[in-house]
This record gives sequence, C-alpha cells and structure tokens, in this order.
Amino acid sequence: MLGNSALVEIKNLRTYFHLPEGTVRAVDGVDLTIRRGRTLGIVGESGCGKSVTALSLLRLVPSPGRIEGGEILFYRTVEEASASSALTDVIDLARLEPNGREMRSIRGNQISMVFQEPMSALIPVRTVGSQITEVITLHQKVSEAEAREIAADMLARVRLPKPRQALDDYPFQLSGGMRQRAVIAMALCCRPKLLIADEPTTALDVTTEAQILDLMRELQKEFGMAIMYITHNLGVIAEMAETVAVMYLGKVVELTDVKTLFMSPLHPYTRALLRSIPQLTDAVARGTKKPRLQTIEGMVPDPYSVLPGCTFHPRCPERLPDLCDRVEPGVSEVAPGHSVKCHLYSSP
Amino acid sequence: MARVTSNEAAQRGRWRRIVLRACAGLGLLALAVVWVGPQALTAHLAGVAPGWFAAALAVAIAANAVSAWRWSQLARALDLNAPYAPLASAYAQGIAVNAFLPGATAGGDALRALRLARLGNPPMASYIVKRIIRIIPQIFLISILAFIIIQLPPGDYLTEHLNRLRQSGQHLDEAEIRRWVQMYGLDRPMYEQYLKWVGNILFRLDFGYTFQWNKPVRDVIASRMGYTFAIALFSAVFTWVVALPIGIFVAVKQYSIADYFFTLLGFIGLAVPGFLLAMVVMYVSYTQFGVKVGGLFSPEYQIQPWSWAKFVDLLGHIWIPIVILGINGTAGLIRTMRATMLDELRKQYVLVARAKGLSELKVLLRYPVRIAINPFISTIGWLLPWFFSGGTVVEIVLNLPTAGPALWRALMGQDMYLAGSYILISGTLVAVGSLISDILLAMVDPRVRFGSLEGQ
Amino acid sequence: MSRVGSVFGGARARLGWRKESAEAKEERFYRAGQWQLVWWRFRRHKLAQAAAVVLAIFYLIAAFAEFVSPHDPLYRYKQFAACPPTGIYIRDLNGRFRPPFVYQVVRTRDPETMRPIYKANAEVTAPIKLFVHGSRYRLWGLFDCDLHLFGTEDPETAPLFLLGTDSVGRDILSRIFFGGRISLTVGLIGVAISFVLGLILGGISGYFGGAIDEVIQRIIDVLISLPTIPLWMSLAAALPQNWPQLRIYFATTIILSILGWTGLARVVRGKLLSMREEDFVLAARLDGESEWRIITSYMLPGFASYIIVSLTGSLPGMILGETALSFLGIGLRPPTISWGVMLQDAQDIMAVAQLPWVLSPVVFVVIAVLMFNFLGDGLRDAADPYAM
Repeated sequence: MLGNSALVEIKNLRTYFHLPEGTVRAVDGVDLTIRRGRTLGIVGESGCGKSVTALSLLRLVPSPGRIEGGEILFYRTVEEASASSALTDVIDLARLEPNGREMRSIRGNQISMVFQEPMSALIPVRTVGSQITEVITLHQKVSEAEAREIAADMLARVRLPKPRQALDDYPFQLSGGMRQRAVIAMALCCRPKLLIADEPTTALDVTTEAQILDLMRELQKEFGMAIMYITHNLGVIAEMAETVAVMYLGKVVELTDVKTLFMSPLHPYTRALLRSIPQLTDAVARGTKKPRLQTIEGMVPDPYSVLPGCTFHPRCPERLPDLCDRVEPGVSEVAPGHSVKCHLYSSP
Repeated sequence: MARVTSNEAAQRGRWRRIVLRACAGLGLLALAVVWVGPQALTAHLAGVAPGWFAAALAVAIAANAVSAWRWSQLARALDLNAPYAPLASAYAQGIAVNAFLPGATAGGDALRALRLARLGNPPMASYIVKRIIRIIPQIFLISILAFIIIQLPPGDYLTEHLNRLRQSGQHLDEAEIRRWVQMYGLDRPMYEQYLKWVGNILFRLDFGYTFQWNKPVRDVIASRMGYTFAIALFSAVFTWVVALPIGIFVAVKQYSIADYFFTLLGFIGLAVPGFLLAMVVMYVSYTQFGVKVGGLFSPEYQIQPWSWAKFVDLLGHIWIPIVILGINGTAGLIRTMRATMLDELRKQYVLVARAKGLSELKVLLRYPVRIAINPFISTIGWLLPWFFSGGTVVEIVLNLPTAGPALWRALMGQDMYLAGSYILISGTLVAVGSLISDILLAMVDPRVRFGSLEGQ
Repeated sequence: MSRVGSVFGGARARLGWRKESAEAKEERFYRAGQWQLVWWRFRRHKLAQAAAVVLAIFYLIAAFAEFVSPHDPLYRYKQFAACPPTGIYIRDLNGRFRPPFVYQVVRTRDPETMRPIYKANAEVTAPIKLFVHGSRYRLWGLFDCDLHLFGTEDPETAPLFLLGTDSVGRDILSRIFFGGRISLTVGLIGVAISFVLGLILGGISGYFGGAIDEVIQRIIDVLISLPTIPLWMSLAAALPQNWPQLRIYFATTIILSILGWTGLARVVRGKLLSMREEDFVLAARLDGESEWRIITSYMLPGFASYIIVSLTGSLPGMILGETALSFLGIGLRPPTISWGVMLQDAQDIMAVAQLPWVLSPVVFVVIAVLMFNFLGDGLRDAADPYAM
C-alpha cells in the first residue's frame, strides 16, 4: 500500500545529557526518515548516539538526558472501528509527555523495541508468558486467556519450540537465542508499525545471529512493519538494511542506500569504517600474509568537549586545513537519496 | 509370561506391605495400652459418653479432611502434583507424628514434605525437604548449647537454691528435694541430665523450674508469650509498612533531598539502639506531657479482667514499644531496599518494561520491586524471632509483661533453667524462621527452587 | 546496565582520571598498589574521614582520660550532689567581656521537697584555666601528676561541672571520659578476639575444605541462629559475682566476641575458596612457592581489606552490647566506670526527670556508634578499589 510514505520523520533532533562534568551532546541535530515497511540501518562506533536516537524516539531517554530540540513526526494510523479505511495523522513525539498516556499507548504498541542483551531483557522471576501477555492486555481489549493465545501464537511464529510450554517457563530455562526469540515475539505481539532493533544479535553466537536476522526479515515481510536497525556491525547492515545512516558523535555524516554505501562511500569516516572490516576474500585470494587491518587514527574525542568545525576533523586523513577545523560542514546531496556531511563534497 | 509373574509379585508385595503395616499398627497400639495401663484406660473410657466421642472423632476426621484439602489447593497453586487421597493420608500421618513430638511440629512437616516429594515434585518439594533436614541438627546443637549455659554457673543450681532458701529461713522437705533430684536427674551423669532435660521438653513441654518465680518455666514464659508475640508481630508489620515504600521511594529519587534525609535518618536509626531510644522517649513524655510511659496497662487496669476499656488502654500503651522496636528494624531495611532497588533499576528489563508502554508505577511494582522484595521476604522469617529476643532490653526498660524482662529477673538471680529454655526457644524460633523465609523465598523466586542463580 | 548508561558510564569513568594530564593519571591508577587505591578512594569519602577524626579524638581522650578530665571520676563532691551543668559566662554583671569564667555555686534546699537547689553567687567568679593543678593521679600508673587540661582553681567552691554531677556528686563529664576507656576498648579487644578466631577457623575451613569445613560451617550456622542479646545476657549472668573487675571486663569482651567471629570466618572462607581457583595462585604454585608463602603473601593481601571492613562493621555492635549488658546490671559493675554502668543511674524514670543530665552518656554512645558506621561505610566502598 503506502510503500514509500514516511512513517517517522526525525528533524534536527538534539538530545543532551547534562552531567556534572559537562554536557554530552549525544544526539546533535539528526535528520532521518523511516519509511513504512522499509529498514533503516544506523551504524557507528559505540557512543556515537545511535542508541540515544532510538531511545529519544520512544521518549525513554534516561535522566539526566533531555530532548533539547527538534521534531519526531510520527505518521500514526488511527484505526477506525467501523471502516476498513485507516486515517493517518501526524504527531510530534518530541512534544509528548514522556510518561503520559498518549506516549505510553504508542510504546510497545505502534513502536516497539528489541534490546541488545536477551539475557537481561526479561526479569528472571516471572514467567515468559506473563511478561508477554502483559503487553497484549495493556494495548488490546482482550481477556487474559485470549492474550495467552496470542502470545503462544506469536511464540510459534518466532519458531520457539513448544511455544505453549515456553509460556510457563522462566527466562533462565531458555537459551540465549530462545530468549531473544521470546523478546522479539514480545515486541511484535501488538503488530507494531515500527520495530526498533538495537543490536539484537550482538550477544549471540554467529549461527543464532543468522537465524534471528532471517526471522526478522521474514516477519517484516509478513507484518509489513518498518525496522530501524542499530548496529556497529557493517556485515549485519549489509544483510538487513535498505537505507543506511552512518553516525559519528551524535551527527549523521552520511545517508544513502546500502548498495551505494558499500560500493561508493563518500565520507572519510565511512570509508575508514569500511577499511576496518577484515576482508576474508582478499586474504584468501592473495594467499599471502594477511594484510594488516586499518584502524581509524586517533580516539573518539572527549564527549564533553564541543569541537569547532567538523567533529571528525582531528581523525580525518583528508581534512582541509583552515576549513574543517573551523566551519561545520552542511549536508550536501551528491545524488538522489545520497547525502553527506563533509566539506569535500559541499557545493561551492 | 514374565509380565504376569512380575505382576503377581507386585500384588504379593503389596499385600505383604499391608499386612506388615497392620501388624506394626496393632503392635504400636498394644504398646500404648501397656504404657498407659489397661485399667487406667478402661477407667478413662468408661467415663466417656459415646455420643460425644463419636462427635469428637467426626470433627477430627473432618478437620483432617479440610486441612488436607487446603493443603492440596496450596500445593496445586504452586504447580505441584498433588492428588487429594495421598495428601489426606500424609496429612493424617503428619498429625500423628506431631502428637508424639509436641512442641516441635517440624517432624510432621518434614514427613508431609517428604510425602509430597515422593509424589514426583522435584524442585520445590525436594528443596523443602532438604531444607528441613538441615534444620534438625541445627536445633540439636542449639539444645546442647542451651544446656551448657544452664550448667555454666559453678555448683548445681538446686544446692544453690536450697542454700538461698535456708538463708531466708524457709525450708524444703526431704521428699520434695528428692523429687527434684529425680526429676532432673541431678544425681546422674551429665549426658543423662541432658537427655532428661530434652526428653522433658519434647514429651511434656517441661522446660524446668524457675526458683526466682517459683513456677515452672513453661508457665512463666507461656503467660508472657502472647504479649511478646503481639509486640514482635506488630513491630515487624510496622517495619515493613514503613520501610517498603520509603525504600522504593528513595531509590527512585536517588540523590534527592528525601534520599539524603532518609539516609541520614537510617544511619541514626541504626546507631541509636532501641533501649536508649526508649529511655529518651520515656524522659520526654514524662517531662513534657507528664505521661509515665511503661508497661502495657495503666495501673487501674493491671489486674482487672479483660474488657473493652482494658483493650483500649492496651492500645494506648502498646504502640510505644512497637514503634521503638520497629524503628530499629526499619533503618536497616530501608538501606537494604534502597541498595537492591538501585541495582535492579539499572537492569535492562526495566527499560524493556518501559518500552512496553507500562505506566511508571506498574514498571516499578512488576519489575525491580519484584526482586527487591526478596530481602523483605527473608525478613519475614527472622524479624519475628529478632523482635522476640532482640527487643529484650527495650522491654526491660519499658517494663513490659513480656518474656524478656522475666528472663532478666531470672538471670539476676542466676536462675539458669529459665535462661537455657529461653535460649532454646528463641534459637529454635530463629531456625524455624529462617526455614520459613527460605521456603517463602523459594516460592516467590523461581531461581531458588530451580537451584539456579544464573541470569541474576 | 542500560546501553546508554554503560556508554556514558564508561565515558564518565574514563574521564574521572583525566582531569589533569590524562595519560599520566591513568598510568598512575594502573600502577598504584592496592593500599594506595584504597587510600585514594577513602579520601573521597568526606564523611568517613570526619568520622575517623572524631573517633581518633575519642580514643585520645580515653587514653589521656586522667589529664583531660577536670575531676577525679570517683571523687564525690558531697556539697554538689545532683548539681546541674555549670553555666559558663564570658560577660560579667558589669557587662564587661572576660575570658570564660564560672560563678561560685551555693547550695540551698527547697523548703518543701528538701531537694538541693544550686544557685550562682554572682559576687565570686572563677576563671576557667588551661593546665590547672587539681586532683593527683598516676598517668598509666607511671607518672605522678596533678595537671588537668582545663578546670577551675578551686573546685570545692566554684567547680566546673560541664555535664553536671550524679546523685552522689561525681562529675559526669570526667566519668564519661573514663568510661570511654572501657566502653571503647571493649569493642577493640572483642574485635581482636573475633579476628583471631575468625581468621583461624575461617582459614582452616576454607583452606582444607571437606569434613572439617562442614563441621565448622554447621557450628557457624548454629551460632548465627542464636539470638544475640539473650545469649549475651545468659552468659554474662553466669559470671560469678565475686570476680575482680578486670576479670569481669575480659570475660565480657569474650562473651561479646563469641558470636562476632562467625561473620569474619565466613568472609575468609569464601575468599579463600574462590582464590584457590585464581590463576595467580596457580602461577605461584607453579613457581614452586611454599603453601605458607602462597597464603600469606598472595592470598591474604587479596582480602585484607575485606577483613578490615568486616571488623569495623562489628565494632558498633560490641559497644552497644557492652552498654546494654552493663545497663542491665549483668555486665560490668560499679566501681568500674563505663557508659553502660553510668546509664544504670538512668534506669528509674523519676530519677532521670530530676537529673536529666545523667542521660548524657547516651549522646556519646550514639556518636561513637554513628562514627563507626560512617567509617565502616567509607571503608567498605574503599575496600574494593577495582570496582569502578
């Protein structure tokens, strides 16, 4: 249906953490668009603000973090009881009360999230079932028994063996992969329009990771939901995402489709990132000594300092003297759907 | 063919068991009759109206049936395999065991738990059984310790007592003295004395005799047990009711003014022992309000029979020890609660719960509090015995008609039987209390009953 | 820990060591010895440091009680029985400011109740002086001396009773100073006994394991399940009444530490059990170190800090225990002076109403316990320097 229409538009989002040591600009002017049924990947090193962007979307930024400015427009679908037609209205999530009724009715219902560690995403003292049915009864007008049915059904869809029995199991009775399946089922059981996945496979082994990724793609097709996939793993991005945003120090430095990202990356940071992936084929093909992996020069700077100019300039091998360390680059659209925030590409 | 034989063998085995059981039962019955003496038995039975006997029997059976049903419901609620019939028989057996071990219902409980475990209920039931088995040597060691304490003062206490009586001009006749000596085996070696002492407690609930009060220890303690437990129980309730919400609140509002305030208050609460607090309260209320705090009743109600007015008078007095004892426990519990809550609030499932769209209150109550409540559940077991014995000094200061001050007065006269019994009773209470809290903990925390603490 | 928390927590932790020259400081952190780290962390606990200072003053006063206290704690000023705390003035009747002084005290009697009433005689003043000559004493049984830190020249007419006198005319402040000598050391000696017992039994239990471990653990189980106060009371009551003071004092400390060692033994055992499996112990063993050296120079330093924390934690309980027992009349007895013994005067509420200042040892008990708690908290946090 609305194949290409926007579901969430993030405009100039700024989320700051006011700590005694100084202010951390975790998200500093991010613009992103998530389209219905599509997958947006976000990559970056730890601390680049990708998780905080996701948490800002759900208004779950932990104290002392605050959204300082910007808009998060959510094109909400209001199901009308009588007609099959669905109305769309726009709501600015950044303006909602973080724990207010309206935000809570969106959380876990229209936008849900899967977190990094399946080990600690479920509380060990309650059964898996009770933690899943809780979401269902919260957002849907169903009885406890019906919610249990829905939960069992969803567990079956994420291919958890013996779903009915798993409802009465405690989290520690499941393996890591099983737990992550249960967590995904929990996130999906209200059929969200957007699923935010924050490194959901980092804590899992490679085989399980592949299975979970397959599963997510399959469910995406089935439910027609959008996915915002956050990871530092470029391999996973290549497999999952259609559009990719590269983040560095709270800013999106490059935004493009996945193919272009790997084929013709523009921003020096993106290029450096890609160089730091081990290339199995190269080494095997040459049959000689493994080439040394290239690392990005320098360290992520102190998060409390505000750098003048481009935030990447201290580490950038291609920095333009007297420009990059003074003037912050604007976003330039080098090709349709491919924008980059770098002086090298800014139109004069 | 082979199958049939094995079936037959099983049949035969079953019959043999039934016959054996019947024989054993009849043998025990015969033993009991011989023990009591047939004449005494017939004489006793002759005075019984058959109608009442039948009624009593019916009530007993009905009570057993109802209790067993309640038990099976409880077991079912815990997801245990608990068919009614075996549970009813186990319950009856438990009661029988308890009848032989008065004062120590642990025996019957152990038997019941064992029967439950036999029904194929691995985690919970076997946990309970293991835990109960551990308590038995513990109580045994406590009893030895208590006995050692009784024997501590130089010279045996009967001689001491006789000396004291003689000094005060009183006299005890020879027959009486001999009765004492025999009753406590004072002329026998130490281990026999111990066995006699334990035997008297187990089979007759006889803890010995206190010369200070000139009464059996049992009577002294029993008459005071009611108030002791009432005060201990309400202090515990006070502690929970105050500490639980405050503990949650200060953890959620970490580093707020309220947090600092209660932390400071907690420190002071831990540093000021109850009896000093009691002294200050008494002083303030006497000088500022002219009220003489102390005791549980105003003088005019002291010896009156129970009435509504006396009850109201009791309420007017009892809150002071409850609050004073409660404050001490509260300070510690708030600190524990705050620490566990802070740990739990950082866990990822709290964020996950928020992402579900649950309201903040529900997130708190269903997630971090579910785990932070565990220390509270542990306190259910030990708080009661703690108040029972730890409140001793407060009770002395406040001059309450509870067990503590009685112990104190007995100790002042080196009346060690009372002291030994008191140690034994409160030690057993602590042991049983920790058993109870462990079982409760296993009920609310599946990790305990599955013997797994991973994923914590 | 939430993702965001860990990201910024890590950044914040990194930054904590980065204030001046980042690398140098980091280097210093990794190179610092264990005790250096403990000290650094302790230095961050202002409250614990303050508590340590207060406690040091308490112990100094107790050590030099003869010198610090203005009066002989056993001397009865018959003419000043039940005298309220003396007022200190810095302004005389003419409105002139002067160094601190007291007025002469005159006793009269209430004509109805016959209770003594003390009045200040404004005509005669006596300055409070430092290093005055007063009652004679032998400091630590070695030096004959009559010097007191502060006081008035003529205590028989114009005395300085900062906290009043008790019902027989003894100066309460001096008694508190002397009482501290007993009350504050009961805990120390008790802790020393607990320390030796806990270390030995815990060490045996943890190092040998097996049946010995099982037996010791069961004994600890039982001791822990015993109710403290009644047990202490029973044991204290079993002490013969005719024992000399010193023996009763030591017996009391032993009673107080009879349960205290169990906690330490558990800590030692647990630590030994886990350390036996550590790589550095294996490495030491492969290096051919002797068992004794492995225990003393590899394992013991690893949990010495925990031992100190555990010991500090049990001190307040012992101080309170002594106070409670002596207060009840079954611990130390007069003429021994301890805070608990002093509080025996406060058992009767009517007496307290007349002489509320006899409650003042309460303040000292509470301060001592509070300070030990603060110190213990600070040490507990400092003891684990690597837990950032």
